[in-house]
Amino acid sequence: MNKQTAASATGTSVDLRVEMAGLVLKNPVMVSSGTFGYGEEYSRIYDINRLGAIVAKATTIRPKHGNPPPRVVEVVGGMLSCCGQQNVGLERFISEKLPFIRTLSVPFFANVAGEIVDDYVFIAEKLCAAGGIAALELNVSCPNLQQGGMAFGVDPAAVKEIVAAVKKISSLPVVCKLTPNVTDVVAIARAAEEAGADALSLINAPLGMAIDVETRRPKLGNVVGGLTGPAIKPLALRMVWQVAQSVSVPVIGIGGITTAEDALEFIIAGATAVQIGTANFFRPLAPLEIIAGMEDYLKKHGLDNIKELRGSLELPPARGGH
Amino acid sequence: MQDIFEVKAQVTTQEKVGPDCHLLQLAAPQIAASARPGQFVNVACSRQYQYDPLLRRPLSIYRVSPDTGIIELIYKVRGRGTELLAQKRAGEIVAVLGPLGKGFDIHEGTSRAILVAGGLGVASLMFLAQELAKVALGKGEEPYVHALIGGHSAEEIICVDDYSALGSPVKVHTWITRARLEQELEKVLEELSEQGVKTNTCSLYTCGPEGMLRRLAAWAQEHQMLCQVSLESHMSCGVGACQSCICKTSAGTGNTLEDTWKYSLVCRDGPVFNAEEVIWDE
Ligand SMILES: Cc1cc2nc3c(=O)[nH]c(=O)nc-3n(C[C@H](O)[C@H](O)[C@H](O)COP(=O)(O)OP(=O)(O)OC[C@H]3O[C@@H](n4cnc5c(N)ncnc54)[C@H](O)[C@@H]3O)c2cc1C
Ligand SMILES: Cc1cc2nc3c(=O)[nH]c(=O)nc-3n(C[C@H](O)[C@H](O)[C@H](O)COP(=O)(O)O)c2cc1C
Ligand code: FES
Repeated sequence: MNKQTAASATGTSVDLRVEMAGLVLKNPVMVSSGTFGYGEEYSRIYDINRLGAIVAKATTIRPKHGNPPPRVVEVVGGMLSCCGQQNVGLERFISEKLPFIRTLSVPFFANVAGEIVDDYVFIAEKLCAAGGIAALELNVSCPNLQQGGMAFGVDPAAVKEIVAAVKKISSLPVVCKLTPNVTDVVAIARAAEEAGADALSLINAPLGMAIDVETRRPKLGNVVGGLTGPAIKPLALRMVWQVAQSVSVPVIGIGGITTAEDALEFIIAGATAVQIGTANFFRPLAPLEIIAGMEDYLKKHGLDNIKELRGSLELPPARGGH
Repeated sequence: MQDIFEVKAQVTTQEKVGPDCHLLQLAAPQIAASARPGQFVNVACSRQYQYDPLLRRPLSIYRVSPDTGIIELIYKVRGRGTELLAQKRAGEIVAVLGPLGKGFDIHEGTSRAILVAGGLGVASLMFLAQELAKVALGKGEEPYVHALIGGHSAEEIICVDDYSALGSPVKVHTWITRARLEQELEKVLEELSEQGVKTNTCSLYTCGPEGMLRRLAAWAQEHQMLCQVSLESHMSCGVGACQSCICKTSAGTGNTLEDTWKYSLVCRDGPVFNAEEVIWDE
């Protein structure tokens, strides 16, 4: 491998590059859909080209107002949100957001959301044709809507149908993003893999709720919302570990990742890359700190390649048969 | 373009300026150099890697000193976040992201500016008063700024001395009840008419409780004054990424939703809005 390039690019001797879905990411640290806008927002704080990849917020065919307020409630170690996929819609994503995205040197993933299978296919076709996008992440799991995403993500047959339909027409790699609001995430993961997904990302937000005891009303305008942030990390890690052992496509770990140690846990559990979500809100430089922290970790442990760490979980002997 | 800074700012001073109200001075040179009146910072109140509270708290930039690199914040202790912030002592580090949002527009052509601060609204208007006082020096009109500072009780009226210290360009009025505010506004109108100043050449800037903003917006419209309001909302990211800080505004141009309204983001499209754009809650 061409280690020299990586070393000179990062100014270090460790190689953080990972390959995924036919793409090479310069490091495994991505930022997750809905937590990084369209990239422009955070480009005002730091050079976002240093990231491994960026995922745009969900794109729907038509623009959406999203849910009425209050959309966010802070809970212990996390937040509940129900933004209802407020977005500019496909047409304006292409005309207004893509020009900026094309100026970036970092792979940019679109996140596709729909209410029927044809929506996903329609959006995917337009985005493939538009140019400037590196991959499609199918949001079959958005927990924020009363209809749409939720129904697909919990049903292996529905997930299979969407992934297969998009794969058929897509010239771009397809990542399927899984919901944790299921009993058996492995069954859904396998369905997506069988349908041809090039990678899987998980988890989207588990559903949660909070009540104001004085008024006895739900604290969120939408009653329930997605729980995100440090609180969900153990749940996410368990699911990523289960899925990584059960599929052969790359897995992208998401859920509560805030520090390099958090990210490394996911890699050790078998993830090829990770996405940083809610941490962007309360530690805006978290992705950069995590990249630096990963480098330090590799050096400290005498590893020169992040890949050596992937899936290196040491199980206690009692579990040997697993 | 990188114009928002994440600064690990050292506390230089923390002092009490009123009941449960604190003045916090932080060394944040990049923010001090570029902030504009009406902008805010997103402040990490918990310690690093402690997640209670998880999210940062938005606080207006009260004043800046580009020479010393100091920014000043005035805040009231309300809950967990501001409680922790109040415990920070000189020398400790507080992470702040800023300057954030769209601040007040200063129109050089304005003949008089009226500032109305309700409660902690003084925090977002002081910097503006300072800049307007500079504009006044060029005009020689005095008083150029009428600052109407008030609150629910006498002790809630804070920072008056800082406004007074701006000198003759700024006339400070204080008020406690809504009725008193209305009287003070009438007095200002009388003074303007004595000086032959037309109200439609004046600007009204206001920050405070939403009910007050809404009434003032209507009052300004009645007198054909330009009016800008600084809104509040619960926030997460502060930079326009999370969509949590919405308010309803008129759709304006370039809107593909077939509606007369849209959700704007208080953190990025505001916190300062032209009053006529805001669609107030019923
Ligand atoms: C752009 C902007 C600028 C602001 N500038 C200032 C300032 O200069 N000085 C200042 O004292 N405050 C300011 N605020 C309000 C400040 O952000 C809140 O008071 C603070 O977040 C409360 O945090 P907490 O953890 O102490 O309270 P929490 O535990 O979060 O809340 C305590 C109580 O305060 C209420 N509250 C929380 N956030 C807000 C809010 N944004 N508006 C109204 N009520 C709220 C809660 O509903 C709750 O009842 C500003 C808000 C915004 C959006
Ligand atoms: C405000 C907000 C908006 C989100 N929007 C989307 C979205 O549009 N599409 C999507 O697939 N996931 C969305 N997510 C889920 C995140 O991408 C991520 O899966 C989740 O937040 C868990 O990661 P975290 O704990 O690191 O935040 C959103 C999350 C938040 C907090
Ligand atoms: S606080 Fe995140 S969009 Fe305004």
